Formats: sequence, structure tokens, C-alpha cells
Amino acid sequence: MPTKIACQVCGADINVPDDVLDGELVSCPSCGQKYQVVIQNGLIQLKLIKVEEEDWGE
Amino acid sequence: MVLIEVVHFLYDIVRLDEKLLIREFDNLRMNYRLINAEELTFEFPNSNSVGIAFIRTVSQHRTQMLSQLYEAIGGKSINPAMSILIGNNKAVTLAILSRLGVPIPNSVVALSSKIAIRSLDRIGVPAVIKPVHGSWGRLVSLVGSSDDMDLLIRHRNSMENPQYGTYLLQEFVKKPGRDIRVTVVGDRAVAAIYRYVVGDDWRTNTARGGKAEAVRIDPELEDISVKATKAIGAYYAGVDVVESDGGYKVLEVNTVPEFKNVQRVTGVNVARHIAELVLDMARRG
Repeated sequence: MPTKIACQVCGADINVPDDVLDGELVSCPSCGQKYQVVIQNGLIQLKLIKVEEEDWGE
Repeated sequence: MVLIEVVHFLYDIVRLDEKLLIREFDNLRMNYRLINAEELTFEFPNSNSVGIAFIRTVSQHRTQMLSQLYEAIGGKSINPAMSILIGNNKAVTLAILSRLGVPIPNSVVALSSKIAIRSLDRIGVPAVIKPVHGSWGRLVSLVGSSDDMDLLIRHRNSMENPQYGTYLLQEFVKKPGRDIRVTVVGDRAVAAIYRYVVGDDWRTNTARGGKAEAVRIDPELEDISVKATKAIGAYYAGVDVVESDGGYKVLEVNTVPEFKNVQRVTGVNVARHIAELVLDMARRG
């Protein structure tokens, strides 16, 4: 069963799949806000992220 | 007995590229640890256990820091720290490619606004003006006149980061509405795609939404891509190439290359090639 977490921006449910990895990106299906998945001690949390940091790239 | 070292797979944001790599690491039953770089500390004296760092962080600053630290404590970095530092600096990359005879567009590196304005004549218009650092086409500008250049410099002068005081001016290569991303692993160009411009944008980065199509890699394309990768000392890379009237020219060499689009469009399992390269290096130690 995927975990449901409420979007901090619009409140819609975000489905986080069971095989999600720490550090993965998910976005809200309703408002599009992006989050980074943070898994600590088996607990899944979502961290709000800016779309792109200045030094992100290849 | 062959001693196989533990590979430290370092990440911050896990993109599809990293997920594809993790899958192939598992398929090859590699001995590796996933390490979130945001959780990592180095303690001195008696630093962390030395290992092989496979660095896939999105933050270029973090990538540089990690690769240098792993090498400084006696470990190994994939890609090597020096290749990452060079690859993240377009000016130094072009200097090395030029010295080793890899074809590149005519370029001028100017270390101040004053000299950047004067250098526009040497390149002619239209010219492409880029920051020396940066990725995904950010702050890359097409300048059609000296008025455009004045405006660009006024914007740059208002930016606090001193790295924007260095200008890379480059001839605008009349490319056929596309460029090429070649993924090199070891001694081979394993896959390549054309990246087409979107709408009236003139940039082709797929990070900017460009469409892609598979490339049949000819010997000349393979040769300059592998040469460019080896020139900066990388084990694997994403090489950006344009087709000009005078043949292929290399624009830049990416040392933490994204390859998901290359893999999707060509059907080549790029992640597998990279994982095999890492496994081979872990075996050799």
C-alpha cells in the first residue's frame, strides 16, 4: 500500500510508493509542488524543495 | 583471491538516472552502500574508511567537494576529482580540448566585463555568451549586437557571485536545429541522441525540454567523444557535440552525466555499461 501524505501547499494527497528511495523526488498531483523524500528510521517524510538550485546539473 | 572494494554510491537527489544505476548495481550483485551526501561527515584525524566513491550528486559544488575529499583520504573517486573540476569549468575544458586537438567552436575567455565587451569583435555576432560554470543551459545567452552585450554585462554586474565576472564568448555554430549528446563509458561511445530545439529557443538541453532521437554513431563522432572524455581524465562522461559546416565540434564534457533520455530513446542500457565500469574498477581496486 502506498503511503499517503498531504501536500503542504494545497493539501491534496500525494501517493508515495512502497519502493521509494531516500532522496527521490515526488510531486503533488494537484498543484505540482515538488518534494524530496526523506526516509529516517523507516519514517517517510517530504521536504519542500525549490525547483532548481543554482549549482544543480551534470 | 580478488579483493573487491565496497563502492560508496553517493547521492543527494535521486533522479531516474540514479534509480537505473542502482538497479544495475543490484543486477551485478555489486558490493555497494547507498550514502546520502547530506548525512555524511568526514572526521579528522582517523578519517572515514577509504573506499571507492561513485559520486552522483546533483549539486556540482557537493560533487567537487566529495571527489576531492575521497581522494585526499586515500580513496578513489569515479569520476576522478580533477576531471570533475575540469568538466565543471567550461573555460578550462575548452583549453584542454584545444590543446589536445579536439575540435571546438572559436572561443574567448574574458576575465572582466571591460575585456568581454572588447572581445565580442573577435568572435563576431551572433555570439553565445556563457558563464564558465553552470549547467542545463542556465544564463546562456545569444548576443546579436554590442547593445545586447552591454545589457548582458549590466545584468551580470548586478549578480553578487564573482564567478559571473568571467565570460565565455563563443561563435554561434549554425547547427541544424539540434545537437548531439554522446555517452562515453570507458573507451567507447555507447549511445548517442540528437537533441532538437524547442519552439523558437536556440538551446538544445533536454533539461530545457528538448526532443530527442537516436544517433547512429559514426567513427568520427566516437573518436572525438572518447578523446574529449579522456582529455579531461574522466572514466565516463556525457559529451555535447554540435554539427558544423567544418565537422563535429565539442561544446562540453559532463562528468556526472544524466543519461535517462539517451537510454530511453536508444534502448541502450547505459546504466549497465556504467555499472560494469564501476565493478571493474572495484575489482582492480
